[in-house]
Amino acid sequence: MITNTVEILLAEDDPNDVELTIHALQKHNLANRIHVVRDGEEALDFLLCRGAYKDRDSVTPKVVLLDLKLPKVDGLEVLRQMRGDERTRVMPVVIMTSSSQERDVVETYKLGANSYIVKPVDFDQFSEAVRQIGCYWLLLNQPPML
Amino acid sequence: MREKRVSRVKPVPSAAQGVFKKSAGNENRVSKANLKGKRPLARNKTIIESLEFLESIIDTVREPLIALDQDLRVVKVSRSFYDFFKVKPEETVGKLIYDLGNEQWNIPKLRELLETILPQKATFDDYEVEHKFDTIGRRTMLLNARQIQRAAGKERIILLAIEDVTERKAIEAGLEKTRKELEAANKELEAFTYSVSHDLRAPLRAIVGFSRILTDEHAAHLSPEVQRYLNLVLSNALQMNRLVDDLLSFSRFGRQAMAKSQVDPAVLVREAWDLLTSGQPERPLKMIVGGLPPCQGDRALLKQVFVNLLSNALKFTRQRDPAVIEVGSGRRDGETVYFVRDNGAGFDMRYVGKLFGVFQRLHRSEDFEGTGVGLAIVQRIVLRHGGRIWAEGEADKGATFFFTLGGISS
Repeated sequence: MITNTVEILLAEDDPNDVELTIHALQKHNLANRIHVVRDGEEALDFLLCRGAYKDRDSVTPKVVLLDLKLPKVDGLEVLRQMRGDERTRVMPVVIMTSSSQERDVVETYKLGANSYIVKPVDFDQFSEAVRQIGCYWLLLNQPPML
Repeated sequence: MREKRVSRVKPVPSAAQGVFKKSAGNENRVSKANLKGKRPLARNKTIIESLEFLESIIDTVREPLIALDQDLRVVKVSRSFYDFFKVKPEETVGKLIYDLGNEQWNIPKLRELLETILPQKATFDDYEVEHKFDTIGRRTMLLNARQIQRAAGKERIILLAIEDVTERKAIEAGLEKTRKELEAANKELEAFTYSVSHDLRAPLRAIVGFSRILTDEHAAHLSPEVQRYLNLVLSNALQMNRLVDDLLSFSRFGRQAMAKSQVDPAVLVREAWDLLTSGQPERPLKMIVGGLPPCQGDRALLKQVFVNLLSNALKFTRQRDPAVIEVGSGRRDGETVYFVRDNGAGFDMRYVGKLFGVFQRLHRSEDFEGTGVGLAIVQRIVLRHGGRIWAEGEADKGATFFFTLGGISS
């Protein structure tokens, strides 16, 4: 498994959303180094180099795209554990969710999310949102050296 | 002036056996001030009047009252006590309180109050005691106690007022149960809303996303007919998404906490109007704004009322030249009635009952787009303000929406 050059970690359980996100990234030539995890536990395994990822080269992704509603460990808990671990404390996390519920938004920012995006239903808007996220976090933003 | 007040109270016949008998020769604190410098006969008269006054108070008070001496023997009991606990005077006066009525007052919590707490504190309020009495069954009582130190001698008198809160407690417990049920129902509703916002959107996004990829990136392989069908799939999925959005906002406007303040509707109307018309193509449009007195309400919610009503007015006057939209107010039965009027498509008054229902529409979606939630939201906001909303209209002539906001506004 080549994971040492991962730039984007996508934590998303819905296979359709995974495919649409990758499709949108590809369309804008941003999808070459993306890794997908399908539940919160796998996300934490990847990020904290444990379980199936214990031998992973610990080079960190430039951004984590995190869905809130994930099996096993939900997105909020993934974020909480990330912020509690030195290795992932300042890693940029973009919440990507279907919900625009106010309490989610406040809660995730309190836990230290860097951005909160509601996935648009209309694909044109969705694709544009993904393009902007990719451009900003991969090209424009200067990530912390970890 | 005190004597005057005393003399107006009608003596109560049963007073003779009464309270403070032991102290009748002494001066008690209440009447002491009135006795200075009086001759013995007048003094006796005043003492008797004072006693009668006190006794009449004790017998008038609705809650059972009992006076004990320092050995906790009953000195005086109010009439309400006899009525309430179904005991007779001869069974009470002179007896130890714990021995009353088959020792039914021998309650550990009462002993604690009388023997431990009261000697230290002298007063005690709302001491809750629950006890099952032979005569009247299980009761919850609040006890208020006062220990009165007499001026002369070391005797003390204990006054014990008993408030029966059994029924009140039962009602409170019922209310608490209802409140909990309501809270649970609200939680459930919130969970439902949350689930709708999350779970219904994901499949819609997939339908729209993959259809769009087909139409955008594979158009060359699709016949015009297939493209038309795909576009129908797309537009329906997007319409369903609007329905989900509107249903969620309907639910949100109903639950969102209200922050009431003084609100100037004229400002809200202007803001709503700018929001709706800025960036829109020019059209023949006449807007008339009449006097709009200030009101008490939630600014954000009331703005939504004007946004929805004006957006409706703009929508249904689209074919008019010129469209005339009027916002104003009047007074009816001491209340301010606000209105929004247009000369648009109107509606048939036969269907006025459906106007404010969720997802109810009086026009075909080919003629006027929409989900049928806007007016339902308006009604919900108006009702939450304690107001009323109603409408008058005529097909093809126009419609007027009236609403009040509860309370008598100035």
